[in-house]
Amino acid sequence: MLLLKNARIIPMADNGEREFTGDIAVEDGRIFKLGPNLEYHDAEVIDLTGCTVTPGFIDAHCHIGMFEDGMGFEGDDGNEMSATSTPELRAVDAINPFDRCFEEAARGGVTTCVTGPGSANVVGGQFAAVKTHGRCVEDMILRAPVAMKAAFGENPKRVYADRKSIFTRMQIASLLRKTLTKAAEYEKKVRLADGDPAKLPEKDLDMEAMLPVIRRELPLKVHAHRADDILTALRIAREYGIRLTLDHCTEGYLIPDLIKEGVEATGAGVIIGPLLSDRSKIELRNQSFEAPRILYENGIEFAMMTDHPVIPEQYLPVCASIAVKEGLPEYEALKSITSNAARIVGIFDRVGSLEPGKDADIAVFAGDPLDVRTRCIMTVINGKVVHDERRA
Amino acid sequence: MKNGKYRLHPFTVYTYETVDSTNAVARRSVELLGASADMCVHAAGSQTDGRGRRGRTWLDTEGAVMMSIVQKTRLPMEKLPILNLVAAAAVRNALMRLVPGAELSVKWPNDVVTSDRYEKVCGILSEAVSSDGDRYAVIGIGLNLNAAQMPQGLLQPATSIFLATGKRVPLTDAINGILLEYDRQYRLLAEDPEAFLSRFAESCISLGRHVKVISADGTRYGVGEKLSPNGQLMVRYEDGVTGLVYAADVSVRSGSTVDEKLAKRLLPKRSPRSNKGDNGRAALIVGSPDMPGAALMSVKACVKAGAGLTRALIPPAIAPAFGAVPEAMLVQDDARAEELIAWADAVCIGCGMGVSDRTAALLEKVLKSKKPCVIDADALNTLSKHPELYALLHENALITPHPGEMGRLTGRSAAEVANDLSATAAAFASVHNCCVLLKSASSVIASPDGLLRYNDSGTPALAKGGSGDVLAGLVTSMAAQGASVPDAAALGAYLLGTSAEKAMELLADRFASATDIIDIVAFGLGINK
Repeated sequence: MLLLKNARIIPMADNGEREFTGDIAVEDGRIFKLGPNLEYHDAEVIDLTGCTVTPGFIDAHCHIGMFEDGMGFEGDDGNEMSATSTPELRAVDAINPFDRCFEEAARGGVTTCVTGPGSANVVGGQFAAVKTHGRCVEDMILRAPVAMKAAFGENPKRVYADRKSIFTRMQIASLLRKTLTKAAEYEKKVRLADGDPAKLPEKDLDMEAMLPVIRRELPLKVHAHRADDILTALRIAREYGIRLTLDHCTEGYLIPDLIKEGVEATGAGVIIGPLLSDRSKIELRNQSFEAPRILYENGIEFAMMTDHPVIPEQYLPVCASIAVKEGLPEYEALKSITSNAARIVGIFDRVGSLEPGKDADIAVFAGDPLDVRTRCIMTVINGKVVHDERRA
Repeated sequence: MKNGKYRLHPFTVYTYETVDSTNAVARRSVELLGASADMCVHAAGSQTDGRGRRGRTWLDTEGAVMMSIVQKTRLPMEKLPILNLVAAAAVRNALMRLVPGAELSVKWPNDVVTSDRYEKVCGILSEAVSSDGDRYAVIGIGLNLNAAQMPQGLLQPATSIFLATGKRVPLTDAINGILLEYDRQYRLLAEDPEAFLSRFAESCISLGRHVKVISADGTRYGVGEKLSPNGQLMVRYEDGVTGLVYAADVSVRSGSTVDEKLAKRLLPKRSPRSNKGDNGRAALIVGSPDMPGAALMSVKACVKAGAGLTRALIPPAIAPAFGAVPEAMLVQDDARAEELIAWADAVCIGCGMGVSDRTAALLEKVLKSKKPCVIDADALNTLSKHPELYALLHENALITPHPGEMGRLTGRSAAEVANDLSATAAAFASVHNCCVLLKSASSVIASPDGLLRYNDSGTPALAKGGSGDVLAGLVTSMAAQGASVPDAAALGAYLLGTSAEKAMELLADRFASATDIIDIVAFGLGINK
């Protein structure tokens, strides 16, 4: 038993309790109990008087471990530009646990990253939710696959124009529809076969990977910056009855009413960012740190993302801080990198709040977690202290 | 416990001060709410209408926890009972982790018991409920947590975690710990059923032990061998046939198999200041002119096993042989039999006597005295020819038949007895109000109060003439030293077996003889150290 005592705790749970001072008991990798004055006979006690404790932060969209630090093409394993639709690709086969960015992320209080393929392909492959500590990807996986990547807009056009396979947004939508239609047909055959080997279709790895998308078990994780691309994604989601998350959603704040309507109709999640970067292309020209506040004011729940390596992973809370500077309430900013991020990604059953039964992923701060000067002095992942710089 | 609700991922826990039964609350929740009842847990500190298996009443004690888990499941109906195992493992593991000093085991399929005395601390009752074509398991857990005393007159020995360890556990700690461990064990079962079952087996007292299986087909005895992939108990019955037990009461009794721990506890204590008169007076009525050896071996074993004074009533013709046992005093006149019996603390009769009117007359005297006695060999064969003597048997009389002798006593074949050892021994002990040591590779010791014990010690080397005589001597010695007759029988059987095992270490199979084993008894007695 690990017992963190006397901290200011911000649990980010749904029960209305914003914060309290007390203890967290951790047992076998999970949170056992929260409350004042906890005592256990065999506990390792860590006194955190004066510290603030939050759930470990969650980055809802990034490419950590896949575009590796301090390398060029040798470490670039995020964009498989050999075909426009590659559902079978799995992030877990590219993640390098020895990328030092994982350690930097953990030292910054980021404990879960949703990482996966880039946006070159229309259907890019399977994202994974991983913890930021471990020596092999199997140790790090929280859930894999956690989403199927898809991309709209400039990136597929740019990459595939010289290969003469994509010239327009029409073709991107068409290629996505073709993949979804094929997957729906495949799913029907599998369903009708009802386990009878004689009736099952010949195994198709790409289509096997698409099955959970068609069955609404896995969201399509859609790269969409421009308002029209976002709406195309929502249109296709309605056509096929699939779940999706609107990632980047850069111009979403320009059409908040339409986003809200689309979210309510399809159950889509909104993940915004990376905001702390330049407007390097046309589809980013309306990028603004006011977006989080405007979405909040329109009653749209969202997560914030780094798109690491675009913004280094450990600066996820900095993005939340700047959003606060632009008028987003502090608690909403914290939600966007903890509970909302977990809920939108579909991992709130495991992480995103400090509640009994959840993974013991805990960030400890010497002061206000949203003050950019505050250090994360201790990080716990799966109940294990992986970073500790408390003064002796 | 107060009425309330909290999240314990992946569960939602509802707590109640009092309910009729948490399983009933759970069942109703499924019927009313369907899918939204999934993964909810209903916990109460008190129930007004608790139920155990087979409709038995669950008596909740002060400081108990009752909780019922609702879990939607795709397990087919016949595999549902495995969730009992998941819950039992969860309770055991969680409490061992939470409570310092708690040593707990699981008892197939649905109990958690203390590891030393097999006293029940937790019972589990699972049920299946259907709603909208989905199946839900309701897994009810009743745990004696902080009770300071247990109700009288329970069907099986029970205790609480507090009584067993002296530690009290907050109710929510127990609930959280059990549920988190349940979730862990359930996932282990889903991901790696073999690993789940092998871990369950490690802490399961029903395996490798003698069990009594009570089902609709009756009561059978056997040894719990292993768990099937569906979590059923595979039992090797005494007739050598194995069978899967699906749902039945399988009891493992405290100390059912005589092991070193139990033997140490049963061994009569000796005071360092004791004199020969304090250490028991044993009388052996044994031998005939044709069979001096049997008499000699039983007497020698009795002396070696520590009786303070040993006297033997023997025919004068074989007296010279007893030069080998100078410790034993000899009585060579049947007229002094009653005097000898009156003097003794325990009497043995039969080894090498032959079947005769003399044996019958002496047996009658021994039985009428009501002294603790061991009736062996020819005394048994004599008994089977004199049914009128059965009425003289008493609770301190021990018969020590092998299956052939038992067959003659009960009018059955040796094979029938060998295939049904426990039930035969238990029935004889109960009907004739005496103790029985039915000798076999796995010997059964039955007493009139229904207690069964087993001795599995020993080696095939014991399957020789003379082993039975040694055993009779050892049991008589233990009874003379103060052990109760059933305890003396257990000790004697255990000593013979372990001494034989020790002898086997020193001698090769073919050389070990019964007299060699007598010489090793001192090693076996090392359990006293």
